[in-house]
Amino acid sequence: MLAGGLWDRSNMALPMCGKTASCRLFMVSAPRWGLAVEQVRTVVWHETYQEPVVDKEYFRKPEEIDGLAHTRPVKSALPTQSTSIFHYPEVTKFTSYVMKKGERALARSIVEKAFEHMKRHQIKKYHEAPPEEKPYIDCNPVRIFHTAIENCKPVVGVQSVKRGGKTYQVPTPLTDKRRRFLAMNWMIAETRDNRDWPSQSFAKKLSSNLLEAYQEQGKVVRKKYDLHKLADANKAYGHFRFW
Amino acid sequence: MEILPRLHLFKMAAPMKIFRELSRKGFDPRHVNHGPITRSMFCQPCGKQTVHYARASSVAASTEPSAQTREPVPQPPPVRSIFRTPVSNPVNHGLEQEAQFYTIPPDEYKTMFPQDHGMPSRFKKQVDTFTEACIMVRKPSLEVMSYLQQANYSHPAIRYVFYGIRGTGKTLCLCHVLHYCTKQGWVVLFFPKVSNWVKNVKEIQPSFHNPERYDQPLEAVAWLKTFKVSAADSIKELQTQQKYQWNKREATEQGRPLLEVVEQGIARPKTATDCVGVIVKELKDQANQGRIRLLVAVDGVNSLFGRTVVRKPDRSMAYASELSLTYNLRKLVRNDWRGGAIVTAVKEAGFLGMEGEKKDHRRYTRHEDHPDIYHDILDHVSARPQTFTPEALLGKEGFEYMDPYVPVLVEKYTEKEIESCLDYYTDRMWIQNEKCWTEAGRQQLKFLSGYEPADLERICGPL
Amino acid sequence: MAAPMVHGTVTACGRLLLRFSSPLLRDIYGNGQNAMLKTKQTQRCLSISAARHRQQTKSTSSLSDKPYTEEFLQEMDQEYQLGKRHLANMMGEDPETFTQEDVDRAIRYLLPSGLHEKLARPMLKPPDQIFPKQKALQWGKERRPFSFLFYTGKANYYSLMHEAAQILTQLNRHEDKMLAKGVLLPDPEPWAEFNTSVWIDKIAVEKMITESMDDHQYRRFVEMLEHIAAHPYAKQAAQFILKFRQELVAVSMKQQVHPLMYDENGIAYMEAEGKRKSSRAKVTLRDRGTGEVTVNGLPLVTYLRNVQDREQVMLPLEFVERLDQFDVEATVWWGGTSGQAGAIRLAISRALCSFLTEAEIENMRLAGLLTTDLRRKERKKPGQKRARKKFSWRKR
Repeated sequence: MLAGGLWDRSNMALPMCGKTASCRLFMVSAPRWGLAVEQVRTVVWHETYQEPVVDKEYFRKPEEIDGLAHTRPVKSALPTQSTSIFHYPEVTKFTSYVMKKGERALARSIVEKAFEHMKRHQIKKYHEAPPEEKPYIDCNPVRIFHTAIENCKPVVGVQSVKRGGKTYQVPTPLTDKRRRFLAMNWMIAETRDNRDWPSQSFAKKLSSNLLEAYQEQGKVVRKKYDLHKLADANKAYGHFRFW
Repeated sequence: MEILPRLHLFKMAAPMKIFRELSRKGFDPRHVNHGPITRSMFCQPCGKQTVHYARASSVAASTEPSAQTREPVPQPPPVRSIFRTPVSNPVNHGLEQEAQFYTIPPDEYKTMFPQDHGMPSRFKKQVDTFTEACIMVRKPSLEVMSYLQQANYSHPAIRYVFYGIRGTGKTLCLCHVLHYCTKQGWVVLFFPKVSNWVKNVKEIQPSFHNPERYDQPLEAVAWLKTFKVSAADSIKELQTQQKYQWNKREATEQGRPLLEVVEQGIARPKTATDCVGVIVKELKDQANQGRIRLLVAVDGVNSLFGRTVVRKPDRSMAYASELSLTYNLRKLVRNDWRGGAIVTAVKEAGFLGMEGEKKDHRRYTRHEDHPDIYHDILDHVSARPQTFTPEALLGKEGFEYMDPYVPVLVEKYTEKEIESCLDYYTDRMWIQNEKCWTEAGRQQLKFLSGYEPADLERICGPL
Repeated sequence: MAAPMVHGTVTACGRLLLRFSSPLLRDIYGNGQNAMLKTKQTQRCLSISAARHRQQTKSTSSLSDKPYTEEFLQEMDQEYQLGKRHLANMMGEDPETFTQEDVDRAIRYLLPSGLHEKLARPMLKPPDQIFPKQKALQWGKERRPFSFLFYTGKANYYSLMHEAAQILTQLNRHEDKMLAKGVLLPDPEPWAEFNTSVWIDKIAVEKMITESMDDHQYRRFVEMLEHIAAHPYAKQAAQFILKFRQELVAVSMKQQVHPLMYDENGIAYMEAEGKRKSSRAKVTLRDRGTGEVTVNGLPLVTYLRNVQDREQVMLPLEFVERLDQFDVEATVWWGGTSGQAGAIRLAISRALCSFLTEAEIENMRLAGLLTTDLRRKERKKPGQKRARKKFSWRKR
């Protein structure tokens, strides 16, 4: 009775292709629901909808699932989410950063090509290496990617603060999200304006950058150290963070 | 020319022949089947399935740590050894080796395919990465090999056509047959990717003999160079049977070694196209006289007929019969000679479409006012026509020219073949993902690739 | 419209029906319908006593804030009971155990109506369903308002807020007392009823206080209640808070699962439809298959060249680890590749439900596989470049 529209919507999932669907769509959108007025972006889902969990491991332990989850409707899983062998959240995120103008298929093919280049490089190295070295050569491109990104993440960042008409670069701690964002975007920016190798494909350049970062070398890692140095040099302004 | 038996019937009978031959040898085909992979095969070596990605990297700016401090990387589990056969001579291949990989010895690979010419581009990369050239022994190539073994060579040469949808391994089957014939001491004329001769052509010139025809010197030289490497051994003793006048000053006398003709073509690109024609003619004659066994392998035979996209000097498109290279090749494909075989493959890539037929590129239509009203599906989603049959690809002209021939269908992987292929990739470190070493991961790969060989290889790329 | 035909044999009952249905119609159609109703009433004036008729016409003509008097409602209730007994007798059943459902059934049988509008058909309902709860009279005989908040214009709303504020003050006082005793913070108690419920929506509150309110006022109200609920001793005011909470029902219980179908070979199969963006899909899922998927007559890999789209089609089957158990036959219309893949995904997961246990269905629901993706492309706005992008700003 009370939240009638809300519950109706979950029922609606079953009688499909009904005519009412498109009308309901507008009913759901923000302004009609008193609490959702302050939303900036129009979200189709009502606030009671919870995020989907596309992870088989999560459902292996049913006792750990919050009991409240069963009472609330769920948003639809995104097309980028899946349980397939290709799916790694970090890689998907990176693909989204590479993407331009919503061409996800292209971005994904570029990232996959870069992975393939890396793998070919490492496998060739593996087959040519002496047998005692072999177990230490990592050929898994996803593992290399994760390590490379991990190596590029800065520990501390700077934030510009205006005091008395002057702008100071004040060192601040960074959230995990911000660290990941910086590392990935440095990687992409470095690859995009690679002056030494202008005619080469993005995938090839990206793979060489990742491999360099994997060994804690290269421009991207240097960028991280530059940021650390800047923060260290400006540590005298640290108190500007608080007042 | 005598009347041939119905070749299509011949094709039907052949697998039974192979089977009978096998049972005569006392071989039970049941042994070929390897059972399904059980989970226990994988559980042991994998250990825990969780992956630790972050490496302890607190040491700032250190170079790659030495081997003692590093942890060994998780290695792929040992797979069953059935996926690979030690028999590297295709002459000995039979149904017992079916769906297994055999290695082409590196030196033979280099002579047969100098600079990997004629191989699919991804296979080239694979050879480079794996540092070995492995081809799967598959039913279609075994079938053609058994035909070649039993054919009567006093009859005109029989034409075999590999066909199938894109990326099913037609070219690799052709290469397998080619290896087989090389091993038997045949003279092999391999024309890879004929489709490249009728498109993206940089330079043509009018022929010296016939101004109606056009030479392609660059392509001819490239082919002669590879031919020189691959057939150097087998044509050593052969000699020219008549005098050839290349131009006003240069000529090759009768009784000179055939290799001299090849050298002549490489040295003088202008005459290269004629040299190809001469070699074709000479080898055909020699085979007719029974001195040699000749194998003609043509990849993309459908490019020899119909239109091309080569521009003549008057800016009009040339027909395939107007280019001297394809003209010579057509003479070779015609079965007016004996003492050899013609193995070909048709390629969708070289297909320029039917004459006077428009392609419908519109695959979907947008919905207008009533998305709920379903129309007849054929109105809205036009299924792409599957033009992979030789009749469709060869066109009317080609079909009449090639008839009669033995069509050999190259199909997608079977269950057994894909298992063996995945094993091979795991063994060669090509599949690195821990999830793919389990049975569930393999199932996903099978589902996503749809058992298509090229797709499987491609989607395994980033794994 | 009221019941068009009333036969002489059922006059007692018919009178009732008429009388009960007319105010309801007034509620539905508003005042515009009054004239017509009145004419109808005059036709049947015979059957209504004069006093009641006065009352009736008065209530129909006036606006809804004039309450029904207590005695009128009582009278109506008596008539309802009487009518029910009549009906029971006519149907030959025991009047004591004659329920409302039996009443509806009896009327459907005795007075079949072909009218399309359900409210226009003859009916007999208890009076509290037909005469909605109305605001009580707000002033006494000497024309003085009862409530000191009368001149706010929304006395009930503000008195509710006032009550809430009082409760909050009480709680604060209690907290002070406890602080004086030395209890800094009480141990958090589990409050299951509160956690499994949400605030009731605006319409429900309006019904409760019999006053209309705007969005802003509703928001103020919910803010107030949230404030109380966040208080450390909120559980003491549980009775007040829970009045405004709506219990959440497990959504999983509401999943509707169709029974399996069997073909002539006894193989189970299931059909379902799905949609995403502008694509529609119909899917037939066959048991005892090999994991083969055909889309519009082509194999999946030929139809969908994008690996991400294939992953989407694979997702539901992979999620329940039945990749090689089913054969899928899909037909899709409209849209692009990713929309078609999404539509097939939804249709497969719906068809899959019939083959699964309840726990697995619930897992699929939590993974968001059973929800229709309602998102669409956002429209372009006038005065902007795209949906969100603005024209670049120029100074003159």
